[in-house]
Amino acid sequence: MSEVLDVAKKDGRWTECPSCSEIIITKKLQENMWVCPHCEFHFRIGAKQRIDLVCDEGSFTAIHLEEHDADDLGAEAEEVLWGGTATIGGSQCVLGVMEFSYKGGSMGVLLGQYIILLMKKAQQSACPLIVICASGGVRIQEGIWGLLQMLRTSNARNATRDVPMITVFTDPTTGGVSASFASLADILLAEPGARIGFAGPRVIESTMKCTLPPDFQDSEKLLANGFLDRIVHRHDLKNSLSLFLRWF
Amino acid sequence: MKKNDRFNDIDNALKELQESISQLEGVDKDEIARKVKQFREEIYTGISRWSSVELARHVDRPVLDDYISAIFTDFIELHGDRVYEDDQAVKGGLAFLDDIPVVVIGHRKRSSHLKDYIRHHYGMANPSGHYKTMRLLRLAEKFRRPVITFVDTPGAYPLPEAEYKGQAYSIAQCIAAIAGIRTPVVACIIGEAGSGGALALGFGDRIIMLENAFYSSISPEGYSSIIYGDINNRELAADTLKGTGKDLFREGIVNHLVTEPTGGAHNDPETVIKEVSRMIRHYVRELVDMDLDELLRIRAEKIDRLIPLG
Repeated sequence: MSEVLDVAKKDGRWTECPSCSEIIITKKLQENMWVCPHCEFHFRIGAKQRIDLVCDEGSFTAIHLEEHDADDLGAEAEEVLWGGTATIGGSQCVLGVMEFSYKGGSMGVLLGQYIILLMKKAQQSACPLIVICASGGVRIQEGIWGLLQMLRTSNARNATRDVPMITVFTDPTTGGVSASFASLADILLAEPGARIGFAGPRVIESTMKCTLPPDFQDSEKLLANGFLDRIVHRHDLKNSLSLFLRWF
Repeated sequence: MKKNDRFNDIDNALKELQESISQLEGVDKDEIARKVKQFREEIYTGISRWSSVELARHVDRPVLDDYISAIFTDFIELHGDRVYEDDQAVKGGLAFLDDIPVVVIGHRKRSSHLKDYIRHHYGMANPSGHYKTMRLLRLAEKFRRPVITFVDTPGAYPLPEAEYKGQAYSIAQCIAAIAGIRTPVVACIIGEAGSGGALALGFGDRIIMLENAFYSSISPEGYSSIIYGDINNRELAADTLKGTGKDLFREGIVNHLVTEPTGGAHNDPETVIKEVSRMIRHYVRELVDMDLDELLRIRAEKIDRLIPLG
């Protein structure tokens, strides 16, 4: 039996839930928006899938970073963040969705630039901005410039503060993204069980020589401590977002 | 914190040697002193970026209290974040810069003449340190007083409790507050300046930085661990991060570079602090005369241009 299971897992027909270890038929999981039907664990999903889940069908139109360089750095920024205009439940918005699987969703100079562009677009078109975050923080390979994007994006948020903004934290959002523009939104939402924080658990454990409770940066803990407005189940995200958009 | 053994050892050994030789009869003390000076200069000339990091962390490096007492008069410390505690890693208050009333906020790694690092958790701020910063910034803004910040921190405090109190949120609030504050800000980068914790205090209309201070998104050890799997490549990491005063001055991020004496700022703290003091006075005088809207417009442009040249 276990051999059959391994084969089925390997070819992707079945998926094991990392939380409750139940074996789920992948197609079922997909139909359930990559939420475990047994324990409600929210699997990490890509930007493209998220756009399909929250936007009205066919409404997403990409906004391109104008300064595509010859070395395709601009294109790279668009791999880390999918930005565009869309409607959600009929309401217009500018949407940015981060892709954690691409370089840890890290924020370098061009990603900073792209986020600023989305803020400006939202202001110009007088519609709300929604950012669905997933990031390990600033791109350390860019040295001080990565760090300075926290300042640049925060300053851009200051300059566009009249734009209604919603941040949706997904697993994981840590470091420079959670400690800059993402936390400056009017509404802070998160998916259940997402790890959200500043310092990652490995940094804390190695620096402070302590062991951490497994739930210490979970959305539920953040909600209890007062740093989130709501936790929103993936099944309800589209509906929730459309309500906020109507309210703005 | 590990002691910076290498530089301490070199300096102590030279001092001992100089003293023992001087006690011998028939030696020219001045000649010995001259040779030792020459030797020290050879050791420290063109030091690596990693050596700058070590000097930035040196146990004898001048700290916040040294700067405050030498530069300002009538400093009155204001405690507490108005939410739940008084963070010991961030110190702030009111003071006078000659006749100009100002607000001073900085990371306090230790007190002058004391090695009380533990009490001040090495200058690593809790969220309460950032909330304290926020409320002092608001105070400065209300009374239109210039703000002078001093940055000397390995980073924000990486504690579970700090996470529970909103470390990321508190840093974001500080960064946005400094970017938008309607009063002039002069930032002085005097030692370590690590990550978002440094950025929370580490920007202003003018930035003064010491030659061997090190400003980066992550420590060289952290960078080495993430990229190479262990801390053994920290020297290479320091070269990649390019975070010394010279580096940031070259990139146009820093307005004024304060050169340090051979062997680091602790070898002649008076001269270093005097130079920082001179530039703070120069910049504050320049900034208080500016129209506030104009100041904010220029600041926004400056932030906008914080991308690498070419």
